[in-house]
Amino acid sequence: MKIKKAFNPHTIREALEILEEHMKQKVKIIAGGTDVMVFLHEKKLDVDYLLDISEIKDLDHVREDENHLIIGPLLTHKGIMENQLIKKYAPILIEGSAKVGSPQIRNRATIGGNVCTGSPAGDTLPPIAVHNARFTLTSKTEERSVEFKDFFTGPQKTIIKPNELLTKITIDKCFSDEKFFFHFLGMRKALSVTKVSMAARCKILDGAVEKLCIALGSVAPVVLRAKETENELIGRKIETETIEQAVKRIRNEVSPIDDIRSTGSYRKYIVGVLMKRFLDRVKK
Amino acid sequence: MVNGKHVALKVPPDRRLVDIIREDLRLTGTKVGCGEGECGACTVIMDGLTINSCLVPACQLDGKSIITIEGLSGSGKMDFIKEAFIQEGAVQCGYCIPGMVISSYQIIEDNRNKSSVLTEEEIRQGLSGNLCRCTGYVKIIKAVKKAEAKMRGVALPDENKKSI
Amino acid sequence: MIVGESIPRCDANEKITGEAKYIDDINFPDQLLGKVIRSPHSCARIKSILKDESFNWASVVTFTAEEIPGENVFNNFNMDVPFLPKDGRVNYVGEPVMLIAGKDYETICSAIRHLKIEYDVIESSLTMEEALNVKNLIYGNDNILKKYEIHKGDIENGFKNANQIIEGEYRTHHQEHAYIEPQGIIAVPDKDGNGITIYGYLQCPYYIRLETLKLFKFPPEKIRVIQNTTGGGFGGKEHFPSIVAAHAALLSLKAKQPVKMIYERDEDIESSTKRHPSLVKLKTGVDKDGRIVAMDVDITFDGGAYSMATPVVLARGTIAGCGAYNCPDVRIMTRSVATNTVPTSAFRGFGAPQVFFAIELHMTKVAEAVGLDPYAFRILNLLKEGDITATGQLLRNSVGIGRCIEEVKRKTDFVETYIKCRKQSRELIKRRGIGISAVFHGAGFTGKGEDKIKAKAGIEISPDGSAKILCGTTEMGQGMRTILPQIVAEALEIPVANVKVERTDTNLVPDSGPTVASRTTMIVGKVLKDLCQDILMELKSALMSSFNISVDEIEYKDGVFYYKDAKLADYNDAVSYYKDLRKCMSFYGQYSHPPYIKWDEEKFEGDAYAGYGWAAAVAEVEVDMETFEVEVLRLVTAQDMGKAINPVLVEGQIEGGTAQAYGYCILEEMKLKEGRILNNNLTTYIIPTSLDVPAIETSIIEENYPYGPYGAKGIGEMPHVVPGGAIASAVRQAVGVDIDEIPITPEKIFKAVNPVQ
Repeated sequence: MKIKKAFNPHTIREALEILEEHMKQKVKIIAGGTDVMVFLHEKKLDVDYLLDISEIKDLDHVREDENHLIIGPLLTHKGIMENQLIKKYAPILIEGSAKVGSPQIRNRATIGGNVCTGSPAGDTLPPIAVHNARFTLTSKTEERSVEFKDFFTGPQKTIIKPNELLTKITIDKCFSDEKFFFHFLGMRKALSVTKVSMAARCKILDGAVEKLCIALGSVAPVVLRAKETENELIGRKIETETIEQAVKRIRNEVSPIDDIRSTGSYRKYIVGVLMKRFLDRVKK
Repeated sequence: MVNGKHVALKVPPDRRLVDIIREDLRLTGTKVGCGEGECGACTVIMDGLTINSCLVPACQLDGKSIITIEGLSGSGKMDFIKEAFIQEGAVQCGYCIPGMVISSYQIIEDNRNKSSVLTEEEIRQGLSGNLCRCTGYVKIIKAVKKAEAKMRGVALPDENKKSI
Repeated sequence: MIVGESIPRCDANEKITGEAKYIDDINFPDQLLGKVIRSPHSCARIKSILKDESFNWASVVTFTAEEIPGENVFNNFNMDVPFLPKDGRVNYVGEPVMLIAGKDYETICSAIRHLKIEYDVIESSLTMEEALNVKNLIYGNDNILKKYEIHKGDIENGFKNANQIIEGEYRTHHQEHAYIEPQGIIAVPDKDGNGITIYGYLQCPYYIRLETLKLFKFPPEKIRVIQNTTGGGFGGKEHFPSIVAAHAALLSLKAKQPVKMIYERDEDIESSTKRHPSLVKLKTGVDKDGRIVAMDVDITFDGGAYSMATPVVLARGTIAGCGAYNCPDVRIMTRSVATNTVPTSAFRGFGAPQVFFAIELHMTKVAEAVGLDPYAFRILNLLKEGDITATGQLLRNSVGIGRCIEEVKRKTDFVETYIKCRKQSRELIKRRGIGISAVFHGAGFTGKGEDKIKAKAGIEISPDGSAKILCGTTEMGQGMRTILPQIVAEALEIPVANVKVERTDTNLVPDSGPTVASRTTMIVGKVLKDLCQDILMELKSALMSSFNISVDEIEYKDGVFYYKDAKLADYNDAVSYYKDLRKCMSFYGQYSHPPYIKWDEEKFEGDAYAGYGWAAAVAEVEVDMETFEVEVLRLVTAQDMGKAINPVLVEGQIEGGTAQAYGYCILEEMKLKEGRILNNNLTTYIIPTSLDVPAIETSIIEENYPYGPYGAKGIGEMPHVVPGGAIASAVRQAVGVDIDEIPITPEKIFKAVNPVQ
């Protein structure tokens, strides 16, 4: 029950050494603490050691290459909201971060935390999903890159191994001719957990959909890419009829549940509404 | 550093900052309302940013600079906010108020070098992590406007004066 | 005039700087922490409590029901509430099972892990319907905690005269007080073990004495209650702290050490009392001109597992049954039932918000049925001076409802906006709606309550002329410690800075009755004001003796006593003369009701309240017809509380109450599953943030009440009573479908509109 010790590594290497060494014990990685401290408070976590990674250098930067942004997992939501590269190449991520908790939470909570907590209601997850996020997991001996769709295995469950650390979040840059969409329905306007959220990107070529990504939050055990709907729309022109079909299709693609925040039937319905709003915007 | 003074303490790694402030340092102006970063009663400033002190464990505090309501009030830096809160009647039960004042101070401070004063929307956004159950926020928002205007030495428009 | 002036509240500075001491800010040497072990079942009998011997039980103090020195009963109302299970029976999830204290929470938690409590689970009644059908027996022989009937005129005949009859059924659910400071008490035992001092967060120090009266073997005066700065009450600290205090006291007497008991938020939400859920059935007859001729009202409240303040909450709900309308033939039948859920009790508005939400939404529909706009319908039917209420009370004076409704109508162009909203296209995605409501709220206790309590208060005059108010009512944020000095300063014509309020400590202050029912200003303020007249008379008689003149010839004006226009002495001189003559400088007074008040408790007939506050509100909303999210654009309210002693503090009450009512109508939905509260924290029990609360515009209407201090009535609760009907009516107009239940969530509108079929 009682936490024996906390480690405060200053480099990734040190952190990985510690993880490797304590593979058999319960080590909880903590960064902004806005989830971990709540879990500890609610006694939902049984932990022997805390590994505080917040002092690790250079994990809170955003870098770019030709087609990607590489985001350090320690970047806070406040940092995201103020970052010029993200503003230019992933504006809906800023919208997602703006929905996180409150100013106090956004000052501390990190994007890496949002990813590793792995909640289907994670505010930044649908935006990075439509940017084809890949996660770099590093252990003392290996480094692997995992795609978004393979990363989350259930509510608050990910494929991260006990000796691994999330060291990079790589997302595709988007370009100015794309259309974006992010919409969030919560229980209130701040300090709110998602009822349903949707992020989408679309590129139109010669009047038809060339590229399309849609991701949905809080309608399944994990953040969901609406693949069937995406496939159905690719190559088609966005007309009233297409929109109606897409709305039906995406509703059939989800089977959300009733919970403390909303009802399954409302969520299913809303997914269609958001689809319509997105395509209406594309049509314009 | 807490309120400008060096503090060295031996505490368990997961001890919450709020418990260190309230119990170890006996600075009880910082309050606990929920323990989950929701109510904002435990708001303090850490390295220039407002944070919920119930969500920061001791193991992350080495070398950090913390300002609590006692520090802010003792420094005289928030006198203009205090005056505005008193004059506008922004305080009722008072339990959320130290946290609310800290958030108010920080948004005014962060806006200091901008050309225009905070809009009502920006104030509402800036205080959205501090729950108040007494006031409906009306007079708190007015007080923040008034405080910022006073700090900048500008006159507030004489808005919606009572008609009767 | 200091009365009517918005002087800053006296405790603002210490609250802002963090110096104010709330209960969790103080500690005693050798103090233990206390915790309550609670039932996980909604209905069960405790079979056994087994202590694992591997744990060092000497490191903690435990306490079970059998160890209670006196009687295990909360000494108030139906006398049915136990402090710990009676005969091992528990009736709701979260009910106290046993108590434990230890030096820290770690020790306590470790002890709890070594406890095994076995239960025989009993079938439970979780809804009002189940309880009324007596699925299992919780209270008496029919689960009815209390019922009332009001009959006025001849209801059968009334409906015969009706041109149209409109019926409706309305539902409301639990509401959590969500004071930001959780419940907390410290109990410190007397050295000899024959008494206890209770420190805490509470509204009613003398209630703690009364309600724990039978629990201990010592007399009530051995229970000393001291109030700390209190972080919000709203009714949640009216009766419930007596239970927390009893638990802390029992543990501390056994441990012979102080015991501090501070609730965590989840424990607070799961176990503290809530607002009563309700089902209100209304049947209204109207004549061809749109006049209400008959009202048949049937109200059921869910009282939860024990009665707590249910009988008096239901009384207020009952009296609100006919709304603020003039109706000749009325029948109101009400009852509160016991269910296996957390007990419901006092909450700002006290049964009235539920009923007025129903009535005001219903009357919007009635107006529509008779072809009048909701404002015109109300103007035709609202009570006015000289009318007779449902309980047969003649409204003699101070009926400000007409002015209130005019004010909100004017500020919002209500009728024009209403018509504009009616003409909106059904195709619009964002549809607007506007709603209006009008209510009353009786100030002070219902019926003979104030007569029974006979509130006492005192004033102590210092030799330097300053005054100290001695009263047992409390400051919990509403401003009592600022307002009462304003009244005394005005009456004695001395500077308000020279008037202080004694610390709230039962050893120092008399019983002024509880700090509830919007009564402090009107009742305690009145006692103090009258007392000031007595004090001035005493001072005059001291001058009479000193100067050998007749009292009648002395006049007091602007702080100076005159004899035939010649200055005799100023106030301070007079105090000196008085002090020389008499040693005692403390004065006490007692409240008496206006002489005309008649109340028949059996028939529930007569003058229900000596004075009423009146209020009206208009809500303007916009509903997204695709997502069904409701945006309240504006809440405009005008409220008549008689004289506003301190207008800024009055506005504060109105704004805060309006925000709570907004939460009640739109956001706050308590979710229970098999009697367990699922949203037991502030992350999932959603109260409004600064971004949610709509623009609130407030007008103060002063229709002075002749028996109140300077014309003041009460204001505390009314702001929570009035918005519901206006918001629900506005949403109804926007959506075009009936939603007869609050909170109005997008999910409920979705279900009602059913856009996908």
